[in-house]
Amino acid sequence: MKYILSIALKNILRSKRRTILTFMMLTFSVVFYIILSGMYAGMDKSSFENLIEFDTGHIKIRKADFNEEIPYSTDNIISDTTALVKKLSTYSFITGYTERFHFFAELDNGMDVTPVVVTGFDSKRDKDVFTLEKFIVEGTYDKSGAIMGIELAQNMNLSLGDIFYITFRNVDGSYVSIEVPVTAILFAADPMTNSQKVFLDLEIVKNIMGSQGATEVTIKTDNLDKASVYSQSLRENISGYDINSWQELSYEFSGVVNTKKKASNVILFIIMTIAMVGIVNTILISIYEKRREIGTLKAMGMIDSEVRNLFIAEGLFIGLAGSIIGSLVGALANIYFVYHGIDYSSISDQFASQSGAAIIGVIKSVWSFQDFFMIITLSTLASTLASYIPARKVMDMQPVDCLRTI
Amino acid sequence: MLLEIKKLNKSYHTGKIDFPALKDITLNIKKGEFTAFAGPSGSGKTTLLNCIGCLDRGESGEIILEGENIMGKKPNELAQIRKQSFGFIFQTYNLFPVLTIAENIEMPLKLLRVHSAEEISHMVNEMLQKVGLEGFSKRHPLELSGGQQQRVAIARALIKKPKIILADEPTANLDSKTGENIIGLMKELNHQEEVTFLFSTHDKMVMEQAGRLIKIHDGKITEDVTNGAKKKK
Repeated sequence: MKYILSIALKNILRSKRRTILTFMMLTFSVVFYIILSGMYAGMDKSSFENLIEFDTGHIKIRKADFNEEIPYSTDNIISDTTALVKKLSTYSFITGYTERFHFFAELDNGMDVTPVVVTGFDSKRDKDVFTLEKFIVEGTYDKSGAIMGIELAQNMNLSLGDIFYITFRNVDGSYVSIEVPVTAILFAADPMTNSQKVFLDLEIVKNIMGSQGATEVTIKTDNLDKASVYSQSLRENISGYDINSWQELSYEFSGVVNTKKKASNVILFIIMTIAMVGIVNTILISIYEKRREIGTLKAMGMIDSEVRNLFIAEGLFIGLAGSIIGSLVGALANIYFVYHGIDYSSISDQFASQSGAAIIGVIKSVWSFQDFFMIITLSTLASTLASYIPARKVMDMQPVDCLRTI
Repeated sequence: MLLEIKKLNKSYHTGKIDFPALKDITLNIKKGEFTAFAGPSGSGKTTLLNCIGCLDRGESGEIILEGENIMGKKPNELAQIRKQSFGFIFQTYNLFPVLTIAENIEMPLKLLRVHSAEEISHMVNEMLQKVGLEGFSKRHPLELSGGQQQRVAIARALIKKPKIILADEPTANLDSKTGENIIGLMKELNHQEEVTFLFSTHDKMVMEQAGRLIKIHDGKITEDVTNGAKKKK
């Protein structure tokens, strides 16, 4: 076999131009896949980070009968969080927790009205779980005022110090309207936070809503990846609540990720098929050109399967070299995208809605060594398989017919 | 007897037309013979060599190599017989351009898989010396003249010490002087190595060098002359 491999290697180096062309087809496929999969993975990573950063935390605890269909309903309020919070402080894996109170309201700037989600947050405890204040681009947070997403502020023509009105129903069902000044504006990587959210002090929200509870308690743990294990542990020990890790809460988004993965696999399949056709063609030409050599090899006693393996080995080398070179070129190209990324700011809204990504601004690629390994293995296997089809032809060729070739 | 051929027939089929290439060929070859098959183009001499060398199949008759009928053997069995018993020299040399001279010559030994790398290297050097190509081992076939390439082909055919070397028009692509040298070399090696040489030719000079001359016409043996003793068919 070693001898056959060495002859095959010399054969592919013999027709350099053709080999390079075939390499390039395969290399292009691999480079394209590596950049695409890196960007997709980067997009997904950022999206998951945003979900954790702006919504789920590591683990989210809600009312036992929390209604996902009307998440901002007052029916979803945990009336008393004191006992729950006390229990949470006994778990060593919990590094921070905070209460949040979400409700649906209308924002009125005196001219226009728009629906918003108001979140009451505890500015002291919130820092242990979220990094909301990190995203403030104008002003500073003041308990008496509101933090508002930059897009919402722009749409409602509000700037720092401007007064607006929030109207909502409290737990009794009465309409309440309060006057709030804009004290800070934030630009978050999460499109929903930018365009639909207003943050108020938790105590103020509790007072105006007429409830001492909250809609959720969000937890940060010592290990993000073990969140599901921890949430299971909490479920076993704390009853009467809906307790979910970020992985469990993002299952819908995970579905989008899987769909995107399937779409990129379809693209990969199409490109790979084109490259494989190129390899079939290369091996066919190689067989046609080497008919006399095939005859000579058979005359010297090489059995049909060994001659066939010689051409399969050519396909294997083309696949291996093409995918390794492609991976190296792809890795070099990916360095740029990992460090600089692609700035989607100008099309972010449209992009976010079309891509299913909870992300805004610059999207950076990530390194996925699993993808590198997969694409090298897949291209080499596919190339070997592609060469098997024409190489089988060699089995049927009679030595005398090969030698007769002029 | 090294080789016995009994009533060998072979036809080529082109559409509905059958063209008989060999008609009831019967002959015996002893070990160490230096035999030429002569005849005009299309007479059947190449077909006969191909059938003897298991490159082509006869339709009827027997080809008995050292007592074993090789007709009707399976493709892989025929490949095994070719590997162990035959060496081939072609009109167009058929060397592998990507391999060096040494690599071309060692190829049959590599396929046999019975010799160590050291033994192979020693045998190649010895063979290069025998064919007068010492110092050419690292070169590639296209850097050599036609005569030199045919010498490499001879070395390649001879290195595994086959029972029979089959040479189809080995001098046809060479000028007369080089052709004479090649036949001289083959004859010398035939004596030295005691390997049987069967070759086809239509060159009179080459025919004169043969120990035995078998003339073929229209697929039939018409004359069989051994060392001047004619045996009319």
